[in-house]
Amino acid sequence: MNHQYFKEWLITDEPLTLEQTQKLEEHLKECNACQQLQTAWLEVQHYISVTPDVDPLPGFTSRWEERITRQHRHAQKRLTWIVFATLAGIAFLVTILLSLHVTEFIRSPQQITLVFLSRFAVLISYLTITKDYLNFVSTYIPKISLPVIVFTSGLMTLLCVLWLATMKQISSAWRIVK
Amino acid sequence: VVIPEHEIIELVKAGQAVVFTSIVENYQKPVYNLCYRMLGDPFDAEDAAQEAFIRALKNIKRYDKKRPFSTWLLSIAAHYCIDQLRKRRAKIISIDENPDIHIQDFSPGPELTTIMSEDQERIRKILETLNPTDRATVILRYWNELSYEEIANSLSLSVSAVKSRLHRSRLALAESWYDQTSQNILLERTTNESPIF
Repeated sequence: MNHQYFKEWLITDEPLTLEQTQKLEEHLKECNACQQLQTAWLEVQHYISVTPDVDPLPGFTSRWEERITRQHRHAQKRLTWIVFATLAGIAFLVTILLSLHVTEFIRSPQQITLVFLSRFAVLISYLTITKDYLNFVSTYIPKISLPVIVFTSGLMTLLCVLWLATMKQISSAWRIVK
Repeated sequence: VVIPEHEIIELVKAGQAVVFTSIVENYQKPVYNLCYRMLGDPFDAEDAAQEAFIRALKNIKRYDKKRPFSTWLLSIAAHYCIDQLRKRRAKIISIDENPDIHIQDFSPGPELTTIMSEDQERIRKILETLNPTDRATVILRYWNELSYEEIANSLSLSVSAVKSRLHRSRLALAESWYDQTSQNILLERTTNESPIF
């Protein structure tokens, strides 16, 4: 019988038949290699069964908690960066698209510059007027008596309230429908 | 108050990840031992065991109540260790191609070596001769005492594949053990031989 069969039977997990067991025993009497294999496998099985379990180092759970916290923090940080980068990318794209859109309208940049300068000049003139007005008020207010100031302020406040109320009435939906 | 395991799992599934620490506390030893036997290094084993628990927590919603939780957890650890061993092998191959890179020593440190008996160390060494999946199959079968079906489920193999892998591994282990024994005997004879003869 083939030597390989006996090798298979020696290490199999499946139960052998009576005939197989007898043949194996007979073979083992004369085959030194199979005897050695049998001894080796029995020894391996023995040492597997007697190998004690190893304890992990103390504080395993707390180290695990630290590790998961660290991983969570790292993941959050990464998510923040992803969101920030995405938003920055979108903002950049929008800017590019707007720029492209605007350039279509800007046929002559000189005209735009002139308009900008004229608006700037108007703004400066408004500021000058405001400054003159404030100078006037600061010069003449101390000369006006207190009851006149109170009366004028009250009257102006009343007029403002009336103006606001009128605006509200005029712009209300009901008024528009009517 | 001791909360039953299935209730802990339900709580974790509901979003209370804090209670998972009791699972870590209860299963740290079997998971660590599986990783240690797979990787053969205490530091790598700790790292793998912790990572296995993190993966278990992240994938807890995929856990099927019909399976024993321990088997599910061990299967996560086994898969992680198999991946690590494959990466390690790939690293060793690349180091062979580039010999200037420092080679990491995966043998246990002196403290652990003294604790382990010589024969247990030999078992560890012959386990290293098996490929990662065969090693996981042997460990789950002979140390964790899982059935063929459980091993098949854990390692995504068929039952017949598990049986054939175990058969092949047993033969490889027995042969490696015999080879080591023969070498040791030869070494002892050489050491004890009288220089006169």
